Amino acid sequence: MTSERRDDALRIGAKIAPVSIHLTFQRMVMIASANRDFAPIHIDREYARRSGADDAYTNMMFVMGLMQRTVESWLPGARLTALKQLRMTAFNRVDDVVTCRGVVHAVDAGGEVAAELWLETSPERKTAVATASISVRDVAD
Amino acid sequence: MYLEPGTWEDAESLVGTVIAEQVGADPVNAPMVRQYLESLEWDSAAWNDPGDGLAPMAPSAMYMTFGMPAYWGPGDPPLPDGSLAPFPFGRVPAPGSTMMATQTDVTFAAPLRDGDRLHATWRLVGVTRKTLAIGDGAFLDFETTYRNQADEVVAVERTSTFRYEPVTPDDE
Repeated sequence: MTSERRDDALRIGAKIAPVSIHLTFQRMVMIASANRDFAPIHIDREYARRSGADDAYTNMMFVMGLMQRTVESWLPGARLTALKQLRMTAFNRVDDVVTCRGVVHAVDAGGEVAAELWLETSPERKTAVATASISVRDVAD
Repeated sequence: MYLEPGTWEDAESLVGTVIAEQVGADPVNAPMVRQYLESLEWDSAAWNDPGDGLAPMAPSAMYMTFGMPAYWGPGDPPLPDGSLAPFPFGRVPAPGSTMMATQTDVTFAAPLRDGDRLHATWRLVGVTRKTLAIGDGAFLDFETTYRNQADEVVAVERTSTFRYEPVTPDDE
């Protein structure tokens, strides 16, 4: 990464490169198995509908994983160090295409970045929001 | 989720105390990390462990997975269908038949390395009674500290939950 590109990525207001994933039902089962949360709302579509949801939906561990993947794919060497005020605001359901996006809010001289992160299934439908702390000390110039 | 019955006074009497200590069923290991990365289509060289036991080898977001006890172990009765992840949110005695997480803060304090065995200390840190549109209840705040086998803190999570009795049409 060039110094110019690094500086451009780390300016206030810069967008964090988005990452999307299509939640097929097969993928939802893979996610539940990999993070070991077998609650029926995540892997049983009929159960989820009976509980009042539109369909089976993912959990908080999925949200954290996609946020970490997004941050650490954005700048090689960047490391997610905290997520604050993380809230799930709507369900990530079967067949949703979920995109994680972010915006840089602050950068300090010590190599710490504050950013807003969110997941959405459309520009009008955010499914999770958080404030992230990101260490960029190991991002190469 | 099983919710321990009780009163709000029962819950308030536990504020500041440890409500559970749990040990993860599986140590941090390459096969589970690979399956996790596969499930998220996460292509990253960062999690290729060079085998020296020093480099981080699991995404920090896996702390709950590696801090989770087994659903079933030798000697246990058969696992009931529909069992939830064996976390102790419901162990605080209180009124209310329903519980949901409302907000989480987590700080990743140290990397997850090959072979780490996580244990978690669950503390109830707050009970705030509240009536919301969905029902009468209270916010129960938990702070969970995840440590590795060397007692090094790897993650600290603070989760707010709302435990309540849902409003029924007859109540309105």
